[in-house]
Amino acid sequence: MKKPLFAFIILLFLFALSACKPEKSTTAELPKNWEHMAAAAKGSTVRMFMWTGDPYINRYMQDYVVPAVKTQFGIDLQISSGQGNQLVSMMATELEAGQETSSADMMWINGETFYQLRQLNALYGPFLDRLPNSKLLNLDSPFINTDFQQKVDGFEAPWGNVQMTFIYDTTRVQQPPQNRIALAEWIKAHPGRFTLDTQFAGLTFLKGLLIDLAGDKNALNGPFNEALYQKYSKELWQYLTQLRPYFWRNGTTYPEGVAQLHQLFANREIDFTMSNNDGEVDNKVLQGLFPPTARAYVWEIGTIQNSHFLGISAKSGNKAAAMVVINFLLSPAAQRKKMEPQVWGDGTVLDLAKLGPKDREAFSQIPGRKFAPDRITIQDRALMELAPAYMIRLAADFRTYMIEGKTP
Amino acid sequence: MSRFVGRMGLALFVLGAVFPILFSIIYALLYSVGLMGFGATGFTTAYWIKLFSQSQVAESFLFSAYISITCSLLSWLIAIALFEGFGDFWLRSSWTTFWFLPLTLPAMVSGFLVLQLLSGGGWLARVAYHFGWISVPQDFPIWTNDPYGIGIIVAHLLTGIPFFLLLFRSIWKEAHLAAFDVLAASLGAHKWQIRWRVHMPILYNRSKGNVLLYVLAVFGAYDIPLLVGSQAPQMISVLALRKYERFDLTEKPEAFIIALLYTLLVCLIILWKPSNEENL
Repeated sequence: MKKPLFAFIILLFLFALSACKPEKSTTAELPKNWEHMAAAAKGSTVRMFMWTGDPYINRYMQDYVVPAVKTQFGIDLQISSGQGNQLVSMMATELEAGQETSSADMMWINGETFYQLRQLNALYGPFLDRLPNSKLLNLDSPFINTDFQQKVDGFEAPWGNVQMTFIYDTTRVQQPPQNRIALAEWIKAHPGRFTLDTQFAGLTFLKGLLIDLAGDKNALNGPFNEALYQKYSKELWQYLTQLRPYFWRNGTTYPEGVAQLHQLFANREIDFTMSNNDGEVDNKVLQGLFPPTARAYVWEIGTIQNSHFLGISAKSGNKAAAMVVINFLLSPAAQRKKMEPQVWGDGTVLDLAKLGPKDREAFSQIPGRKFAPDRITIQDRALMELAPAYMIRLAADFRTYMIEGKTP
Repeated sequence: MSRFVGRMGLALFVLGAVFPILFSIIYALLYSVGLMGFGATGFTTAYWIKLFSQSQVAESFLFSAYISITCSLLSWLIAIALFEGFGDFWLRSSWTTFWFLPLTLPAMVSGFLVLQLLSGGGWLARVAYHFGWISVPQDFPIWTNDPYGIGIIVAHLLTGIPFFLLLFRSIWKEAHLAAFDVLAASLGAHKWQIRWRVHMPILYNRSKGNVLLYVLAVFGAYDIPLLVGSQAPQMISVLALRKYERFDLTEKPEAFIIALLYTLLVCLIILWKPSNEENL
């Protein structure tokens, strides 16, 4: 009894291992003509993975996008929660397991997720120039055609464009600091009232500080440079570690994500929060989370501006339908709707000059932002995203020096 | 026929329970030495060396051990004090169902509850502010996301205490403790003597296996330490998940090493487990 059982286990194991070999993608040819593409997409289901941490964004997707693609194109769009490395892990596991069809058809990605998915060959493309609405994009802007210093090369479609802002409450802070020296003075004068989260918003803030320390806003452009990182990050950790005792909870612990950071600000435990989306302050005031006295602003030396993108899985079983959905999301109607502060407040990636007079008019009539700075004025203060390795290194060093409290 | 059924049962057990675990362990082992997964470039011990050169793994294991043992001991002691103090209430009152409701709380909800209750902007801090005991949230003691794991322990106690109360109630009935009470009293034992000499040895012997299982459950818990734990030290499950799916893809093999070490520890504990089955 024992021997056959043992052999059976070994056989099963070998069988499972053989299934782990990644197989080549067997992409079926997609229709060349867009009408044929839309016809092929009709009646199919598209599964989209995205960050679902904001109720307004979720509502835009569920109440506007999902019904629109259903009625206009007969596509059943299903939205699932998944982002960043969680998504990378999932798709890497699928590839490792040799899964023929991915459980994700399209996903909201950018930066290092794009970089890692490209490394895994998990993204389908180039597909951008096949979308009719791609002609309306502002692809001349380096903030839109480049994602964390990597050329998009048609492997993802820009969806929205945002810039990092600091948010404060005018009843608590009269003169918010405009640069890193003023911030250090403010933090020392108000112990326990400042912190940053350990995810994207916090890391974007750290990247901004690194660019500031480099002295020139283009100094860190291009691929990751170890020598430059060593040079400027040393100054960065010196700057931050001397402030650490004055941070919230003496800098021994930090909020896990931006939602928790917002919560601390709303609870009046801290006096600043930050957002990667310049329009988020209006949105959060409308939600009732922030007081109407909350304001967003951008530092004198600028803050990082970046775009978020939509990608298609290389193993998607519904690439045609995913393309139709993405094309809809880039349409003037969907982009305009998304830009309304009471909907999402997300900046458009369209070049307004390329739109027809009617659409242009519609964009000019979006109700003005009340608490966020004007996008045109902050464009001059926009810094480019850095190569993904900078963020990975900053995250690791932040843990060592700021969370674990080791001396730089 | 029965022999066939027996063999089928064994085969199903191997297929459903042993094989997936064995497969996962071998997969994790291969991943950790660079023989499996993306970026695998052939056999290497680099990931093991890198992981052991960091003190955070040992700190996480020690911190998890401290949290799980403290939670189990406190849950057991508080539960036994309540059981002995209000024995009739637990055994007879229909209100006990209400007291056991916390057992149905999902871990995530317990975590949120503790956060709402004990954080600097939480309910207790608001009460303290209302009475003028504190003027700013920073004045309130740090009981959540704290380095001593106070928040984690409180969240686990919410379910741990009712769990042991429920266990003691069933032991009481199954071991006929009421009959022992009468017998001991008829032999002249005092109330405290009955508690120390009769109740305690029986309750302890019959629950120690469950205490061990509870230690293991808390040791590997994820939701509560993620929500109310600090970022240094982190409990082992949070550390493993961070390595598995945060920012740096090259840290994934380290997550598998942590999972392997955790499995090894659980196996050792189970092998060492005091044999209490005969008492149950």
